[in-house]
Amino acid sequence: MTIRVHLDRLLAERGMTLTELSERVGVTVVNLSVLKNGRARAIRFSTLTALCQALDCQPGDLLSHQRD
Amino acid sequence: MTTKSERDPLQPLFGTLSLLFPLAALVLVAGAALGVFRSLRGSVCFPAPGWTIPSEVEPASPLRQGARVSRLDFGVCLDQPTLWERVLGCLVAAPVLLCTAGALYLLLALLRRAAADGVHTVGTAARVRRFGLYVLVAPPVASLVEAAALRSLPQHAVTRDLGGPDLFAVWDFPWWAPFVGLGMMSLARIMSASAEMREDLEGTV
Repeated sequence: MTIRVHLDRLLAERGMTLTELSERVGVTVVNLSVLKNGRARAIRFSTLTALCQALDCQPGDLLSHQRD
Repeated sequence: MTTKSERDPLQPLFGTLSLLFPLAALVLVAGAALGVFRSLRGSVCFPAPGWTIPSEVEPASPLRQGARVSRLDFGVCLDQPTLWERVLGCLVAAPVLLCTAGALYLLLALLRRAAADGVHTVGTAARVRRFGLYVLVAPPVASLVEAAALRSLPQHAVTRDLGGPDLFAVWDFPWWAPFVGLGMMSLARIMSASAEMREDLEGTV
């Protein structure tokens, strides 16, 4: 079972770059890159809140659960 | 203001051991080598704690030919030892010294790797566990080997059975070893758990 992060798709739909998102949510590009590439082991509620506000989306748009 | 050395969890042990290890290792290994060399080249001399062996000049002395009581070595010497007696002589002289040198080397290697890779890593925890296992097993075994050799050698110096102390009376059991060894292994488990927590924390965005 894996949690997938759809940051790539959301950024593309909104025409936003990772750097711009980084500036808006106050999370480093490195950490956003870790999240985008599925290498994060956990995500803080504060980060999730900031991402949802910046991308105008729900947590379910950003994350999905997939069975192996 | 806090300096870096005050914050370093490996200090002052790492610094002290780095400084003292060359000298300590030299003394320990040289001591063992000297004991082995003496046992292999000349007479085999050994202490005989718990034994009452009359001098060879006394009438009805039980000492065999080629054996003598040595005041210089505080024990008994075999002037024409067999190969097995030379081996026993080496086993009286070397194991505990080499075991101690090995423990110091392992500890220094552990600290060096911890300094390079970080203290809170799974690898460091595994190395602490291995060091604990070494401390748990090696000193008791080394001292047992020495005691067995020490118990056996006086019997080679006499012509009749003098009884003598049993093995456990001669065995200087290092009582600290099980406590320190088990303590290190418990510490390794705690370190392993904290290393996993650190990895989780580092992967948190």
